[in-house]
Amino acid sequence: MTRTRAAILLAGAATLLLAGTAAAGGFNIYEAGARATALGGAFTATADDGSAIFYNPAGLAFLDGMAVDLNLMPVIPSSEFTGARRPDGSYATGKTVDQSFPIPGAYWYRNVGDLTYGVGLSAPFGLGVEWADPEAWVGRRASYDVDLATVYVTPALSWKVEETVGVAFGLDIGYADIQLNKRSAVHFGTDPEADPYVDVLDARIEGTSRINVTPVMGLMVKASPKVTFGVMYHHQKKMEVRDGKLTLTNVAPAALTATVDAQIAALGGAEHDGVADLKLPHMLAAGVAYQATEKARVEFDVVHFGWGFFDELALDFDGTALDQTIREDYEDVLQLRFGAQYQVTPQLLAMGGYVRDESPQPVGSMSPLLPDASRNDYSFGLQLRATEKITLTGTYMGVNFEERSNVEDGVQQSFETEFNPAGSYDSYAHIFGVGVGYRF
Amino acid sequence: MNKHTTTLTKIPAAAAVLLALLAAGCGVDTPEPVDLTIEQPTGEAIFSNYVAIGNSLTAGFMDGGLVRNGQVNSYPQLIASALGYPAGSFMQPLIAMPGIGSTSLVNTNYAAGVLHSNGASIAVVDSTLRTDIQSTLLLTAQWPVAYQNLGVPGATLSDGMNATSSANSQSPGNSYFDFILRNSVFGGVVMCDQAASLGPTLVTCWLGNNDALGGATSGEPVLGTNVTPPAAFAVMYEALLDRVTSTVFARTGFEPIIITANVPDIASTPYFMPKALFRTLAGLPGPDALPDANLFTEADAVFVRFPALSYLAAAGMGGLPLPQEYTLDVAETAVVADAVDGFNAAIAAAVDERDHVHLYDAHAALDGLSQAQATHFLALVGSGLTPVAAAATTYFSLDGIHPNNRGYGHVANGFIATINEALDTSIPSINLAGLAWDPTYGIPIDDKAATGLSPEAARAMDAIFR
Repeated sequence: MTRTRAAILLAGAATLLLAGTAAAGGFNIYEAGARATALGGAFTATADDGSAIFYNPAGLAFLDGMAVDLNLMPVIPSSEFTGARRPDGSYATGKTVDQSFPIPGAYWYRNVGDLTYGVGLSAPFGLGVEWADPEAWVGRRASYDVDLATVYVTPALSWKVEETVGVAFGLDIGYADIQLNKRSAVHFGTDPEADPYVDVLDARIEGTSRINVTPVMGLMVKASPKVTFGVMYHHQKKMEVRDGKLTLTNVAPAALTATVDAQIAALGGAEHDGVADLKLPHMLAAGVAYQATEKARVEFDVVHFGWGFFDELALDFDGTALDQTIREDYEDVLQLRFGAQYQVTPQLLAMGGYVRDESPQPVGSMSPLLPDASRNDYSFGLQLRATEKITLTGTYMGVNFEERSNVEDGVQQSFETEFNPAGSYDSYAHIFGVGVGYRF
Repeated sequence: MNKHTTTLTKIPAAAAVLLALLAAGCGVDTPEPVDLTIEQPTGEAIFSNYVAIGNSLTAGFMDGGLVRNGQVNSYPQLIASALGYPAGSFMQPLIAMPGIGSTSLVNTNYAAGVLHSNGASIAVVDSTLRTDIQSTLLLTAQWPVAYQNLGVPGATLSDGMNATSSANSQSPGNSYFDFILRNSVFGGVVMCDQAASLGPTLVTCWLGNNDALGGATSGEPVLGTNVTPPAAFAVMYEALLDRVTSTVFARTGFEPIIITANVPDIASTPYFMPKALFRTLAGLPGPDALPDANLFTEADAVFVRFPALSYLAAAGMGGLPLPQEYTLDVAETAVVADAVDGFNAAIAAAVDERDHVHLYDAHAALDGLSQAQATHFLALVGSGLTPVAAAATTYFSLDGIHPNNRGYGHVANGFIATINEALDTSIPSINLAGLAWDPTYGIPIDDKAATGLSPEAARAMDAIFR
């Protein structure tokens, strides 16, 4: 093998670590409870069920007794890609497979005098993008399947400082699980009609983070019988993946099999240990709720996400040849959330919401891993007080992404253009929420 | 209460219907394809991806063979270096010593290497078992894509578009096709498509020489048999240019700049010796003592092929008159000259019709060499120069038909000048003084005797174009 040849294969193997971008993106999941989701997540100044532990733990201060709120919110995302036109007029297309991610929101709290304490389980960050027909998917060398899940267990203590003021403090005890898959290619062959690259390696990266603990804070002020203010804060997290595993599989055509096997051996084998840090942003929400009538209530929230924290993703494997730093350059963003509810009957509450969600992702880091875009979300839901103790909630939210292209003025704007295909994405996600609450 | 219960049951049902409607009505819209702006490369960008197609002249064939010592001085490599390509980045099918020349005279299972001047005569450096060539001599066999220098010794114009292996080339048995086009790895892609597969911004194309030389070096040129008819040549030449252009365009969205070179006169090369020079080199008396009719079977011979020296050395005066395959007579010379003129007219016409194609007049450039530059090393030594001085004077290698280092530098400068004029660029020209040629391949030259030509070397030279 010539040195040049070796260098090419090495480069191919290294670029597969771009797959680490999977841990990136506007992949926040603000849907931590069925009721809050029905209100478009405008819940910081309302926070009147167990999901307050996520939305504003200070809300716990104004709750009585002991209760359990269990929510399950299946998120069903789908994305389509249309590639830029090639010189011959053809273009690639792709779509994601049908998947459903059941997002949990489970909470327990108990009130004792001026103190309320509780614990919640939520999954505020997550991602799942699996492209159909991975062998042919034009973006497979960036990613064809990525899964990212986080779990936060949040114990919180809320203190009703006075009748109208509650404060809270808690801990987000977080954990992340990452798995991503991509192909790695090299230049090979001379068929001028064909793709100049040939897939030679399949790369799978898996890892779980260490437990990470950060603070949560909340404040709620009932300024008047009609007006309530709320503020909540979840600190940013650096999820430290220390048990990462990279697995390389030779998928080269017959003419290259031996060469790629030799290259894998030269890299130290098919399995490599690795470390990476996944940076998750802070969430800072401020809301104001207005009880317009006895039955009608509206709320407006602004949520600040510190996505600027997510500047890059550094992947460090045991062979330095495989190390990779991926530029992300996310930006802080503000979300606007509106919610309204109406007490139709003493048993039935109707809710609706709207969210304007600007993408934190610059056009340069859009990729098949996460083709993010700004979104408009619409939600509605119903909550039924079935018995004195039991409430049932059903919610739907439609997350409508704006169509977004990485091509502007005829030029692909991606930070990496060799394996990140030029083209446009459109996405949509259905979120169906069900919640069951039990007051002891 | 009853009424209330009814309401309660209806509302979730209505909500469910509404939810289903909403969910069904909302979803992904398939985006329309966007257009990328692809700009025709200009200025320096034209030089970013250079590919050469051609025959032995493009491959850097020298001293009767293809070997790294010569290839690193191929004109495409010299152009690439002038364009700023780092050393080793312009990929050629580099061949290790002793190189690949022709079938060995001694054992046909062996391929002779290059020629060298060993002080006593011109001889073959060494030989390699033919079956070992690709595995032991081809240094860049593992290169995963087409070579940037796709010159295949022996290739005709037709071969440039049609041959994928020695078997379907116009010179069956010519293994250069096999290890340069690497049919076994790439599955049969012809030279011009291999070039296009690299998406080149700049292509040099020097094909057509063998369409006349094949006949000329056989000594018996016959139009339509071993000389391509110019009318057919014209059609193929346009097809080649258009195929390269359209294939690159389909792949990249831009047209490559193509620099073509036309076909030199055979009289420009020392291989075809005028009768008088042959008499001198062979130590024969003048026509008064030995009339042409006694010396040549073709009494009206115009050119004598270089291997005639070896024939004569072996056969002695009893071998006279020289068999007809060693000479080109008046009619044969005309067949070749007319063909070359026809080819060059066709090339000029094809270039004129295409804005992105420019012509390097290699015919004029080689005609313009000085007498000494166009004289064979042996003839220069025979005329009294020291071997070192002779090596520094001639532009041709030991095989008499392919340039040496300095000759290829001269060709490269011609291409560079053409590029600079066509594109208004200022690529620096090659310093020819820096391109020393060592015909000994490191073996000291005996100053006293270097005038012979071994039978095997002659055979090697003879087989170059077969």
